[in-house]
Amino acid sequence: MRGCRLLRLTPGTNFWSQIKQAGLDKFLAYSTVYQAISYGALLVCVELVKRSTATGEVAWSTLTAALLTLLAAIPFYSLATWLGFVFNYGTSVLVKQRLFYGVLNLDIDELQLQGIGQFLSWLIESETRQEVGLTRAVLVTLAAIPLIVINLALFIGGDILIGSLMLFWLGVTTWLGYRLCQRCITLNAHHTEMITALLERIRGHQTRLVQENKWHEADDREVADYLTLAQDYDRQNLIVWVLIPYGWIILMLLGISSDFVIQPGMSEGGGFELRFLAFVFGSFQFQFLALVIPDIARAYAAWRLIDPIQRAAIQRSTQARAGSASNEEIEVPQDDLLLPQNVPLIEGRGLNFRYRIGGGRPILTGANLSIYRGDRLLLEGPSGGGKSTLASLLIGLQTPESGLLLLRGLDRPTINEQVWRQRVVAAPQFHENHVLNASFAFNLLMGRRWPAWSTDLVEAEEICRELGLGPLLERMPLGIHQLVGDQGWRLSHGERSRVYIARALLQKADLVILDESFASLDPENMQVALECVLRRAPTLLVIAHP
Amino acid sequence: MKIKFSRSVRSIQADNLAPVLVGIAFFTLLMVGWTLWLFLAQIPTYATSTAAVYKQEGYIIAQFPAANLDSTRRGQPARFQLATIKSETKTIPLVVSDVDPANGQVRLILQVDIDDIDDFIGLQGGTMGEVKVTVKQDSPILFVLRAAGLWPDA
Repeated sequence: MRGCRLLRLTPGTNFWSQIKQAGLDKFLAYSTVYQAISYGALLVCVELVKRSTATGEVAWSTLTAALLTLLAAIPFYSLATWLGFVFNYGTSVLVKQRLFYGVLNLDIDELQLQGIGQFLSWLIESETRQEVGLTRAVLVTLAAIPLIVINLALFIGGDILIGSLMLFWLGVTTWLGYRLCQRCITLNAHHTEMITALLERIRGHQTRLVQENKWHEADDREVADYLTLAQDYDRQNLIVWVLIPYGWIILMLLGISSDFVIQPGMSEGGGFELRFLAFVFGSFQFQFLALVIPDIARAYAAWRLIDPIQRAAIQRSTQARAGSASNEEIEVPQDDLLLPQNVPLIEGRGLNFRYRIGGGRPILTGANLSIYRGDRLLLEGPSGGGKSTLASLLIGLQTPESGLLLLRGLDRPTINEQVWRQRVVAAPQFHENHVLNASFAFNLLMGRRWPAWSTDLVEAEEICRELGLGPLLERMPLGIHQLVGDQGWRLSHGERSRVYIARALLQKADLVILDESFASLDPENMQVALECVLRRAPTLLVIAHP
Repeated sequence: MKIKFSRSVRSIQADNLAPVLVGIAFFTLLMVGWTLWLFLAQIPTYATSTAAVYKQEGYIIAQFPAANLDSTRRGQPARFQLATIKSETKTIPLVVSDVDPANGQVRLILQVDIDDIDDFIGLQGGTMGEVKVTVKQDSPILFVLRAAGLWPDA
């Protein structure tokens, strides 16, 4: 095979590349061309109308040509609009794919920090963005183009006064739009907070109905704040709706009237048609902008809100590219003997980490560590001190914000994510670990391979007996092949803890991390399990409370 | 891909040709309109004077280049625009009354009573201006054919 062809880009890659691959750029180009033709036809129409009365009597042939030109502009304008909408729908599909991709690649730990209200807000706002944002963005572009063209024509034609007025008003429109965007972002953020709080209260059975008419002042304050923000937003919205179109008309009238006062008779000169166009087109387009800008503001605010999803998609694509590149070039040493004694198995330098969504509080700051082969380490610390976060960094579930983390002297993109996770394994905390509704053997060996080989089953049974699970295997009618989980044999708390330990040990990793795995064991069983772990794990890191 | 018959029938039933028919009708009308305009519209050709002066007696004497005089005939409509007024729309209707090829002059008579035109109150003998005589009117198709070299110049 001499090469391969990429059928579809990853949804997290550059958006314009996706648009090009989907062939949507042609729709946008044709839409712009047809739009330009329709506006050109309108200009020709105005010129023909002017010429039809140039000699003092109506030239009906020229006037008819003007009418026919105007009619010919209609299909071009319709076609341009239709193509614009096709482009919008196409890009909406790409946006939806990108959001889905981003959602699937959000960090689990970060998601756990969010409430369900946050997700609901994201869902609502992503819909808003899809439905409103792109369509309106294209419409704004289409509305702004003729304004800019007329503005240039005014300056080239020497009508500095009206040209400057139009430029000034375009600036005012942009500024008003920006102010509206800011208010929309504030309103959205407050709305999200309210939804989050409400849903969390519902989950906690703290609704007013349950509280039996006990009034909460905090609720009133939230609603009052929201009302104030909403009023402010509506006020700004009203300013945009009214001031932009009518302000332009007043400004234009003032410009023309002042011109009469300063230099009477100028209106009869060559710039009259341009002024007429600036007045008519400007009024129409500014009114259009006034209607569309609030939607743009909403879409922009939605865009900001769902930014974490997009960043997750982009980050995932970048990692995938880095990973695929490294697959072909780096051969990871498979034999532990290749690792010299003075090189740490795993090494971290200046590790910094914070959860992107959870308020940005630093969890790790400048953490350094070196773990050598054969080490037996105990990591103690208070709750919320970052012990489990460090474990998730070491096993490759999280990526440090900055700093260097090396396994056998190689970083994660080089060594390949999958290989990293084979080399460093963990038994997460009890609430993050699960016994699946399958055979006992599958629950033990799912991290190694499945279907298991007979040697795997023998080793799994050996480890289980070493961990003190021998009596359990004897009690279960099918032994290691017994169905466990919700619909099978119910395991006790301590038995499940030891299953998780066995699952980690059976993966034959270089480093085994046990996150509070002994917490639920009685002293006797803990001693048995600890001896097994110390014997079986090549390198061990145990996380525990002091 | 194989499509079930019932689904095909439903698709055919759901299909609506009305927008396409409206579009075709619109385009047909537009094309008919442009075709009629191409053959029936009359585009005037003007002969423009090099100098023109208004005489007190109610007529205008205009100088034309020799080439333009060949096509200028008695009875052709014309327009007189005063040199002092910028607007192109403020013109006085005239008619050619006499052509003098020897002197390169054309005599034109006013078609309206000068007192009726408010905008030309200042008009008096010796006022200079420009005269445009409509020497012929052709359909647009002739212009196109002449430009393509498929029709001889008249």
